[in-house]
Amino acid sequence: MEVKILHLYDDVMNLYGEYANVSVLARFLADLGCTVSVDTLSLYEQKDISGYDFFYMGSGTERKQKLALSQLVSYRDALNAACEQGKVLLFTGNSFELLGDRLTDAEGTEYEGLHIASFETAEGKRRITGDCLAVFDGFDETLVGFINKCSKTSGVEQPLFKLQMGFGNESDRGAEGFRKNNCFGTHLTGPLLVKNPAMLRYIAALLGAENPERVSYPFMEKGYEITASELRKRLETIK
Amino acid sequence: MRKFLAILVCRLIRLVGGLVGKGTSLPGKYALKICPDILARIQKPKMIVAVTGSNGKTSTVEMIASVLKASGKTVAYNAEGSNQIEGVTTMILNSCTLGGKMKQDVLLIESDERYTKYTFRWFHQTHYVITNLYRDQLTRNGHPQWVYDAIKESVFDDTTLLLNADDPTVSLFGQGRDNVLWFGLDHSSVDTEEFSGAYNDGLYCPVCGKPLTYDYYHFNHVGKYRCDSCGFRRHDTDYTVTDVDLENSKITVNGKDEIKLAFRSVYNIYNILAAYAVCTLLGIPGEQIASLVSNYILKNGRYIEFTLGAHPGIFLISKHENSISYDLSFKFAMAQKTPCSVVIVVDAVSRKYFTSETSWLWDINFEQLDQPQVESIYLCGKYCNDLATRFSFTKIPQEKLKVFEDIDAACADLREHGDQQLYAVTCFSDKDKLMSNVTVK
Repeated sequence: MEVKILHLYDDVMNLYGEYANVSVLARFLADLGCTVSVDTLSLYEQKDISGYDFFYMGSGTERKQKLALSQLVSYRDALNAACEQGKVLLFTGNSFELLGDRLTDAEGTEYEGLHIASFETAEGKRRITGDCLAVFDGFDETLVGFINKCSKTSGVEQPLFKLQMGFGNESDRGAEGFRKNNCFGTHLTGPLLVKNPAMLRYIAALLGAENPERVSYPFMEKGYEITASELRKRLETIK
Repeated sequence: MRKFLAILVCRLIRLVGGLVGKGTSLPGKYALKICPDILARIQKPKMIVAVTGSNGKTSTVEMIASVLKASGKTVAYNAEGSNQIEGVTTMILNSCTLGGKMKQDVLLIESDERYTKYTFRWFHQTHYVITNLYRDQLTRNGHPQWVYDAIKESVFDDTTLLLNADDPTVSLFGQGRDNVLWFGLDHSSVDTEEFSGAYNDGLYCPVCGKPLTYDYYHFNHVGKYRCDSCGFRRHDTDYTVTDVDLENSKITVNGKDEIKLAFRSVYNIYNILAAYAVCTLLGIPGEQIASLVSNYILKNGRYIEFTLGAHPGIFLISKHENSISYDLSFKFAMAQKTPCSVVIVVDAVSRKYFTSETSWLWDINFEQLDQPQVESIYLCGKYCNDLATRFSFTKIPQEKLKVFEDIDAACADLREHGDQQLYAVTCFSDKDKLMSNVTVK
């Protein structure tokens, strides 16, 4: 089976080691017997993005996020079509904000989003950071991660996670992220798919890999267990 | 009256705190409660130098203070760990008379980059050194551009800026103003034409967003850059390292003053240069500064020689959540070309706050360790599995990796095997866990 991956703006939206999401997914799919190709779309580059199975985008500074958006809007129809066709899209960190209708920066300037969903995001002057424990209805394991943002997102109809720890869409401990078909947006930053082997398996299965449990990486599994246990301990102390 | 009370209370708490070994921010905190504008009310020296940035603040301040003292000038300055307004207040109120007058020639302040705007709310620094802005402690700081915006609020029109010209983000502070002095490195032996690093924060112009072009890189995204679209470029420098000769452990400043390096690394060169610039402004002759900072060994313990069993070793204290500090430590270690093992410890991500965030491991250029002289790499501590996963995405032969969650067990293994050189790279937060196993020279 062939899986074609497109990493969007890896040259600017790479603030927290997010490239590792693509590296680990490509390795995992290959180890599961898939034929994998990884392409990138650089800032200012124009290319045909139809035909990809998986689209990924990571976090950037607020300025670079706007810069990326200024280029990404030309792919609005293509990305909406991909979402409607059930292609897998994963947008982590503040790239998630671009999937909505509108983004407003701290000075009040408005930017039009991709309109994949109707939510809105407003940036502020306060940095909102913290470790996260997130529950997802696709599997039993609680996800671990970190949120690093300066915004609130409102009007999400179908959130992705329910947080046990951390700051959700409205910066409270509640609903986090967004899902529509196989399009996922989350403010969890960094190498989400490395930190959470269950999420890696879940995405691989969506991309058509059969029995992804066949392959596992012991260091990744152990790393997940330790971080999850550290975060649970932490949760007890701050409750 | 409130001023006097604030000074008195600050000193008393400092005195008592000193006896029980407590920190230096509490006295200032109480003084600020008694008299919130106390820093405005103190009569300060004519020369007020502040140093901020991601890396090198403490080292730069330490060297400036050392040169000034050796040159017969009096200076009040804050030591590491007390670089927010409370610590600065403690230092100032313990350096002035009870009437609130500072008699020193210079007030020298290391200022935390994210909170510097609070310190300088009540008075303005006359000179402001900004060393660099890297990805550093992003779990608190957000990202370098966020820190830039925070520092920007403490940059005043009447302050002379001393800026690192080789760092594009730092250079932004100098856009559109005249009272700027620039420091940087000329093209030298340490440079590369190709970028090296796990990520490149210098790809696009921080002013207009179009591609930046580099003639060369000193390290990571620090080097000689220009934007052909808007004209933003690496500025010409007033204080310049004109030659770097790491083999003979020396640099030349402004084409004339030769400075011997205690530590053969590009790591400390910018700190030395910034110190040179500040001391020159204070009227100290270049050759005198050069002689005073030559072979200067920093007191902050960032380079420590030790033995572990038959192994000679060097601690290269880096900072967790700060990939460039790791990159430069590895660069130093690999430049020595001696058969070696590398020990990396990630156990507590921070000593000051809780986090389990390990994304920053992906920003470190571990690929540098893919060298034949590296016999083995010990990955130790609570986050050894995350390190091992990260290393599985390098070209380094995986059989060189030894993974130990238990740091003592890793040290025991080393003690029993071999006598090759060790390079131990970790953060202050994990340093003692290694130190307890070795003999310091």
